[in-house]
Amino acid sequence: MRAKVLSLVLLFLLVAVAACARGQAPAPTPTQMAAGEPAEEASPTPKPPVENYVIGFSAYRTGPFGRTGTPFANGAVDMEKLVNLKGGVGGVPIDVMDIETGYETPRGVEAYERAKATGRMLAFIPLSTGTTYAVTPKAFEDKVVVLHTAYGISAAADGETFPYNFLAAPTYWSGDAAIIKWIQEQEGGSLKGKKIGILYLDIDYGRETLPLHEVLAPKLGYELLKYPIPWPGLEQSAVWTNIAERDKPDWLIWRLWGDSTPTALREAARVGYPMDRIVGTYWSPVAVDVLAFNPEKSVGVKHIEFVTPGTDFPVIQEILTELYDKGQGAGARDQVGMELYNRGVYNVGILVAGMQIALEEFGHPLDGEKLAWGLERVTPETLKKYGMGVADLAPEVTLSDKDHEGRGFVQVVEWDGTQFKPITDWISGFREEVDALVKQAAQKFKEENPELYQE
Amino acid sequence: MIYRETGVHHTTYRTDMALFRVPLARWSVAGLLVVAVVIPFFATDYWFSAILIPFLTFTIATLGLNLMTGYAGQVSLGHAAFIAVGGYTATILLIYDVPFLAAVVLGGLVAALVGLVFGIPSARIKGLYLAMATLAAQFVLPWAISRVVPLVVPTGLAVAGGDTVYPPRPNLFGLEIDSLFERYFVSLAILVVMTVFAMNLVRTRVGRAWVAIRDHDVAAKILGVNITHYKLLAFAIGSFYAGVSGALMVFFYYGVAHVGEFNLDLSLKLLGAIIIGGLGSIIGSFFGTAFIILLPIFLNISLTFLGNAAGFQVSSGTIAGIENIVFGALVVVLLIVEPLGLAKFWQNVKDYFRLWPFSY
Repeated sequence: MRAKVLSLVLLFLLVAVAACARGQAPAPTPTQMAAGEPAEEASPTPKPPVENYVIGFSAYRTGPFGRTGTPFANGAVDMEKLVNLKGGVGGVPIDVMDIETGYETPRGVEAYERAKATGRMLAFIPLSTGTTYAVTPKAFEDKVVVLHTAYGISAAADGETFPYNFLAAPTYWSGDAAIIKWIQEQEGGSLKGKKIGILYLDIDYGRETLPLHEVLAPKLGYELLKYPIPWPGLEQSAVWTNIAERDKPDWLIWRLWGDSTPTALREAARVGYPMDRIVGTYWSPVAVDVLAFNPEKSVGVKHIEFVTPGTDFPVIQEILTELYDKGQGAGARDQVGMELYNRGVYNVGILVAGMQIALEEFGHPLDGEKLAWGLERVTPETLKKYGMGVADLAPEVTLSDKDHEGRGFVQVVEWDGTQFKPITDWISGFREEVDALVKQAAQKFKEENPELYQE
Repeated sequence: MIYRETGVHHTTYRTDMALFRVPLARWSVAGLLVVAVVIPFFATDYWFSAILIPFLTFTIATLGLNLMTGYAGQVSLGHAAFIAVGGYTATILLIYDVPFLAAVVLGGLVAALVGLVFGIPSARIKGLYLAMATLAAQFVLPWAISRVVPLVVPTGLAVAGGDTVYPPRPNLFGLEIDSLFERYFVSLAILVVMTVFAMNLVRTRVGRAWVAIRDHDVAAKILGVNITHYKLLAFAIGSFYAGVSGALMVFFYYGVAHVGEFNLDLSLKLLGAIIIGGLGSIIGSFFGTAFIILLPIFLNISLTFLGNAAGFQVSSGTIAGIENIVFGALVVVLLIVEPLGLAKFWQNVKDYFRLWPFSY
């Protein structure tokens, strides 16, 4: 009996500790700092006007997508450290608040609120489509940038309808359009009579580009074959039998993610579908998936990238020398340079570029609106100047107040047995059709949510 | 000496039938309500959106599941799917300008209907087999929603992808429910009403029939209880609660109806919540929801705090790992110490103070 009451007391203690922690966490310190110790140290540099700039980040190193989330999160955290080593943004350090959310939207929303409670959040990286949807209306009100590179709300390419959502990376539509363009080139300029299959997870994400293909297929003359796979996609033998025996499409476009990818690779190998006819979207197959299946058997498989993988870029080399060689790296060294890792670096880098562009114009302190202004002035030149090296990873990004996507340039990368290597230059395709879809979707969003545009 | 029935005499049927028979119980519940009404004036945005509102909305769902599984013994692994049905129905009705309360209630009713359909197998099977049938609901319903919603939602009102729908601002008697403050109060009001209903329901013939069915349904049948009728009623009422909870979740918490949120994970979480909270108890639903929904957040914050206080920056991955370990350990320890759940814990405390300072 006593033990039972004692354990209850212990539980309450734990809650109390947590409550105290909550009370401690987001206390604003600039006024405290200024008031506390003005004359104690004759420091040569003036006190920064803000303690730091916060970038909320809903990371996932655990949960169903922990395998793909880990290198991304490590890239972002390493880039944050590098930026701070170099003095931060105008002398003010940045704080990438990576909060583990396991890909769950409620925890993503909580992470957003926690970062917002610091009072210094400029941007939020949701890293999950569900969280992006939930957080976008809040961002309208709180005037905070939401950065969702190559996922989330594709309609956010329309900067006028979505003033605070930034893709800074191609949408899924741009990606598929570029794939079709590239396949067209591979087939000698014409797709007439060819069969292109789309293997997709039967959820929002997977179905998103079907409208685009339904426009392009009659236009270009290819036969569109659809292969939906019900979530979570761990059972695909029926679909692959159809692919291999019945239809035999010339090319296969993949829109999978997570554990469905190694399964698909395994099935492709089993039925003998040629790996070099598989072109996936940004999130499948990625290096961690190929390594989870079998690197040798997957030679030739491709996907499109918006950030070049690899380690021979000055910024990645700097991360290796300044952080990993000194034992300060956030994760495993062999993940540095993976495409997901470089995406994490790019996410932080482009936000830093936006901050510095805004800093030139507005000075400290920055806020979400100013950051959005800065991001809308990112071009290849300004990114080179202010991006701290990430321009090498994504050299063709041009944002504007109308275009939060960046004109949709992608690279096709191919697995050579040990890593993904780019085999094309930066390409894009069928901008007209994609822009029409974006416009339509943005219009839908605006009609559905008039209260967000009331002011 | 503190919580005791001695000296409390009920001289009218009214006082005898009251939900709270002891003055202390009445005062504590009144105090709790006062706290619940006063907290929003002091709470920050973060408290509302990360702690209070999710707690209120999830508790309604947990209550429903407790009625279905805890009282009536019908194991259900498909509760999240019914939540989804209610959420989407209410959202679509709101888009068609149905008043807010009517949309919520209709969402609940449609979910009840769907729950009824998936409860039909309960007439023949029980226990783990019924769990499999409800698991089917968990997979079929989101898929069906995914197909039906783009057809039903008028063109121009779904985000590209088709099955993600942003609900318009709910409007209660002319007042737009806009701020977190207002959302909290509306959720609180609905939760209080549904809790009182549940508390009364379990004391009536329906509640007694459910308990009889849970304990030994053949014996109940022999005694004349129409078990099919009451099993279906359990599914219907449990799913009604789920539907209302879904409507509130979509309007006030997620802000968007997205079928991916209502997955098997959520169903298992709710089941875990009622097991840890206490099967077959109303207050157990509250404890269980707090444990499953809020404790991870508290762990995350306190571990980050402890890590920083100890002087080194711990990576979020490590914290997540430790959080999982601590959470899992807490679940195991709790279930060993008190298998009947946190509600029994609370009952033990109350029993202790009933006799205090004596021990028997």
